[in-house]
Amino acid sequence: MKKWLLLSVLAGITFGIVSAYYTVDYIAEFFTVKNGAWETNLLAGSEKADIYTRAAIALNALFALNKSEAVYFIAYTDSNFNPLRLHCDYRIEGGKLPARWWSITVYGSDLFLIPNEYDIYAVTSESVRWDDGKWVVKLSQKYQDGNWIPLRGEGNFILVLRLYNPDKTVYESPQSIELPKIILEGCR
Amino acid sequence: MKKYIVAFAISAIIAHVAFVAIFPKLIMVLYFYTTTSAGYEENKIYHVPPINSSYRKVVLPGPNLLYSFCIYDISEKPLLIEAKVPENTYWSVSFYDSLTNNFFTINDRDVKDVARILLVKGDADIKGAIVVRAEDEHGLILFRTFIPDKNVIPELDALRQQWKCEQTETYLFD
Repeated sequence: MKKWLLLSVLAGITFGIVSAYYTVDYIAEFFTVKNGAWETNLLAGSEKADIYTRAAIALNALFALNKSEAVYFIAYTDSNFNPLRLHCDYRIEGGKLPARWWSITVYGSDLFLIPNEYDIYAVTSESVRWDDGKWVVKLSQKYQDGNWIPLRGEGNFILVLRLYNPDKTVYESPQSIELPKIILEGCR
Repeated sequence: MKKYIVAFAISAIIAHVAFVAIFPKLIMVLYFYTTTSAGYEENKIYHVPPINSSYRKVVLPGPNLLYSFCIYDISEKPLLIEAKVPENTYWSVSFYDSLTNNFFTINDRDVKDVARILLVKGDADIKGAIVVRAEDEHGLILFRTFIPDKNVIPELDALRQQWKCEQTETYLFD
């Protein structure tokens, strides 16, 4: 009798831990704010974060800054909500963003930078070429003139938009600020 | 049968919540363990080379930032951080506790010339330094410097070699 009780408890503990590991991201998702293809969790780095957000940040964005210092928007899809794929070409269009400076970085699905012979992984508000207050960045496996981040390999990728020293509007109403559009141009 | 189901459910719920709650701590302990095992000492500053795709230690590394870090242990003595702040570029120092919370950040808008920060546990009122109170004796300090242009990396790198993160005595500030 006791043996079965003990086994029930052990099975419960195992189930609890495994379910925790696999549900952290899904539950933390409830605390994210969406703006088109971009999403952010304003509790990243905060002592006020719920346990699921804190666990998800530890797993996916360790050492994130709190929102007054930087806000992180992540895109897993283009602006039509199709997954970002490494064998496709994209155009990101944007303008001035409400922050002191910003960067857009391409990461593989393992959350690390994708190797390329040009050593180009990101654009920033300082490095991007502006045209009358607007900018366009190309993402492609093929060399592109102008603002370009090379894609390499197969599978999915993600984009991270970091806004450093953001204006208050960014974290007070992240769902309504104007963020860059991610436009699919074609696939190979 | 009912009591086995109840035992399973209660232990599952407790284990689930406990694991989620301690997961950040596990990640930090793992990070501290792997970092110190690789020869990095506590209470000492280290400068990460410019980030490229070969960097695989912490997820989502920023390729436009120069990172420096200091794993702290203030169980015995406070920690003094001294850094000449780079001009005309973003710079920040962020403090993380062992639960990954970013409990304090200061940047180049808050401090000019030289940042002198004292990390203490408990209360302290010390002149001549920005006092940061940590509730946790262990954690990480992360320095970020924006690279506006790759050509300035040598200059920024030379500057950060002078930064300090070391144990100190509070009476030195009296």
